Amino acid sequence: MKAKRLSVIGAPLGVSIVGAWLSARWLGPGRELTMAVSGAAQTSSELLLRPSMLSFHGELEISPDTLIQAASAEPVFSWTAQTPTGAISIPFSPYGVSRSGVEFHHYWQRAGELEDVSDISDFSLPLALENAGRPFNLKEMGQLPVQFGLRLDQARYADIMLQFAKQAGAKITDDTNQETEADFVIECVVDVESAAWRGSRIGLSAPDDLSGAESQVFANAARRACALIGDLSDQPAERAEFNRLSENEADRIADMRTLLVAEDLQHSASPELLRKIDVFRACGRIPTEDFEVFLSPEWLAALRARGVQPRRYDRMADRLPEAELLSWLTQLRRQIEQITSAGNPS
Amino acid sequence: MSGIDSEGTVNRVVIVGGGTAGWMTAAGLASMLGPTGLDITLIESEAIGVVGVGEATLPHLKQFNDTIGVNEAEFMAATSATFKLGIEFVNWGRKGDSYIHPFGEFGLPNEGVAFHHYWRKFADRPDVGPLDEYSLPVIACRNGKFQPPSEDPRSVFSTYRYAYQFDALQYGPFMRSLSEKRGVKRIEGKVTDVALDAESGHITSLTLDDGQEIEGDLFVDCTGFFGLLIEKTLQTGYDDWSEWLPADRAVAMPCESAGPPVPYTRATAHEAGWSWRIPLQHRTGNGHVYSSQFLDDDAAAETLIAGLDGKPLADPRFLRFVTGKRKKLWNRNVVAIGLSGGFLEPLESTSIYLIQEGITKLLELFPRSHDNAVEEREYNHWMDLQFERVRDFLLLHYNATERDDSDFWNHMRTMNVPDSLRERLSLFDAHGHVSAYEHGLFLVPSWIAVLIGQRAMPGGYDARVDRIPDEQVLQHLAGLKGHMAKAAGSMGDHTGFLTSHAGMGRTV
Repeated sequence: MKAKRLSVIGAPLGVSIVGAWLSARWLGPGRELTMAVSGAAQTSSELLLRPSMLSFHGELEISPDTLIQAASAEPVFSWTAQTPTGAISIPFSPYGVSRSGVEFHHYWQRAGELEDVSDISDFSLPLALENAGRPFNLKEMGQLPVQFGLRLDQARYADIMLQFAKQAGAKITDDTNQETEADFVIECVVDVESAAWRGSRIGLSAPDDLSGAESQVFANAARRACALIGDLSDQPAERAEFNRLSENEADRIADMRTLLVAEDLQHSASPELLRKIDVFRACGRIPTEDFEVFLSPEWLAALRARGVQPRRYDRMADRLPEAELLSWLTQLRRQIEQITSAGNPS
Repeated sequence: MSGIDSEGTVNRVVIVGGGTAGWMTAAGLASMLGPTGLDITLIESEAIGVVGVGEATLPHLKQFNDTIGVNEAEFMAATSATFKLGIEFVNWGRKGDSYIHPFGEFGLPNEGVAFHHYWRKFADRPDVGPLDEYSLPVIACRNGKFQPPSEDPRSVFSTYRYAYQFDALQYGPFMRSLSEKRGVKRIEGKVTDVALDAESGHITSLTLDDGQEIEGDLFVDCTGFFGLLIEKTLQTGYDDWSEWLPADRAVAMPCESAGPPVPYTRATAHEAGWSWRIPLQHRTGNGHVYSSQFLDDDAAAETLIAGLDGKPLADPRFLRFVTGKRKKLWNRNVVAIGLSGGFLEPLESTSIYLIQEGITKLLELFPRSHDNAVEEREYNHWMDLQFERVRDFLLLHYNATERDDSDFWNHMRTMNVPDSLRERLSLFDAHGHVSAYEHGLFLVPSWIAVLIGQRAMPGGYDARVDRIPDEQVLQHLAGLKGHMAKAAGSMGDHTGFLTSHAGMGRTV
């Protein structure tokens, strides 16, 4: 029986991520996977891997330690975004600590109505760690109550993933005409359009204007494609599902982009983003859609950075007595200072 | 400032109606917002009966109980409750069929591929057996076993959750007692008049049959199908979904227990609907949901009585309903929770879940002032999504069937289903993939349980299964099946657990 041939072509980052996943999770008896990279990876550029990429690599049995050693990776706790008023830091983990099911920023807002309290960013352990000015090793990271991503060299990372795929049985080539011999082609580009599956071809596009989003989008698309392309025959139902999920993902990323950069938010926002803005402004809650890319603390940071402030906090935050609330905030700041300055996260 | 005590703020909640929805709402608000000074009043009349909705529940109720500090053993003893690991569906795919929708997983995923794909490849082999045999809660149900799940994710005993089956007529008083201890004021009386603010259209006060006037800032309508505030007063409107779910009647009748209570609810399909059987500690709850287009009341009652396990304990009690939901469950300063907000037949025990979801969302969005248009819109958006996704899942049971033995089933099997469901069915039909969502009640294992349980066997399976040699997969299936059976065998007896942990056999 003729082997099913799948080609992954295009930009190095996308090909390496998608190909690595497919080599581990799709390649097998009667199947061939060819990866053709067009152009070189940006040798001097840094790449941010969001926290969820750690589980992606974990499933491939590529440890953070491997990436740290082979691609000079460093743990990161936040990412930087540009807004019309300047750069902002967006943490991967929540500000403060939620309590009795109520997120920290409600308590912080209440405290601010009682007395002067410092900016909410002063209660962010991830931002404090980011600014600590010292490296954190993996052992320390494991003890910290924060999520972390990795910042690494893009070209070296792509190389690690390509080598992984090669060892798993994929054929690596620089012949970009591979697609003519394939039963199915996945083309990876860096763009802001959403991915689309048409006929026997999937065009994957990932944005490069939001730090960390491009690798995440390629990884998500790899999982999705791997689950749905099956034996590479035309599958209308699976195609529709792939395109639905991809469009949703692109829409959520577009929402974050709009929130960060739009001059006129009210007139630029999608209904889903307007929902976030309106509900946050009304009561400090951030509603989510199915399968968000960005985490709640990231939306919170972006909303606040764009001047969207809640008119009120959650009434459930009033259950905490005033004195206890203020004392708790003081303790939180002290703990953050201890963690970041002592070099001992315990 | 927090503004709680400022003029124009929401500080007085009036709940109208004291059934399950009313007292759950009172308990939820009193527990979570009572300490903030919220004043909560519940008006009910002993002259008005309660529907006693939903004796069977979903695992989410445990979370609600835990959040508001309900002691499980006390709650179970007070409501004659039993544990529930799933729902058995009889006669749904074909007459004579039986499957269980468990509160848990089937098998274990392997290499990122869901278990049912591996099973599907070899489902025709006699040694592989039905999917049920790879679910610990299903095996436990079939054997009358129960033990609380493990919190260790490596344990097979962590692959399920549990719910309760309780006496709804005892549940209201239990929640009332808890609520009153937490400061809820109960007023006996019937609402005879509702006053509206001429400008805003908000309700300002209620007049009771004894002349008392009760003022409030926010009103929760728990008056059941009647919808005194949300519909009779505010004329909110109703989305009628009987086009898709045409059952519009139910007849209920408790009976004596025929044996030890089993840890599952049973839903048996009939000529024009289905009947429930809910085993409690002291009796069995029964009812027959049917469509009056296809079956008259007498025939429905006969079917119910013919299927009772034990001696009837009451006369048949008939209910009428229209499946659907209010166009807005939050309208101005009225929030409809329970049957006043909408009704979906209790095929998957969703009634109390929808009450719970309504309370939880109200707590999250609880308004400070009457300027709450955004909170209202968000609440309605969320509850619409919940209702619609439950509706599709219920409709699945009627549509994914081979039954052609009555006009009712022919109608249900061939109807045009909503696009949201049609697309799901197409995707599953091809290679067994389930279109996932996050914000809904029924997740992937539930869809698999019903689809495969009702013979909607997919045409194929995830092609990644073929990467693993057949012998290896078969060995894995055999090992897993044996492991599940052994684990179920080691579980304790459901009745024994009820006796030791839930007050069964003791006089309450």
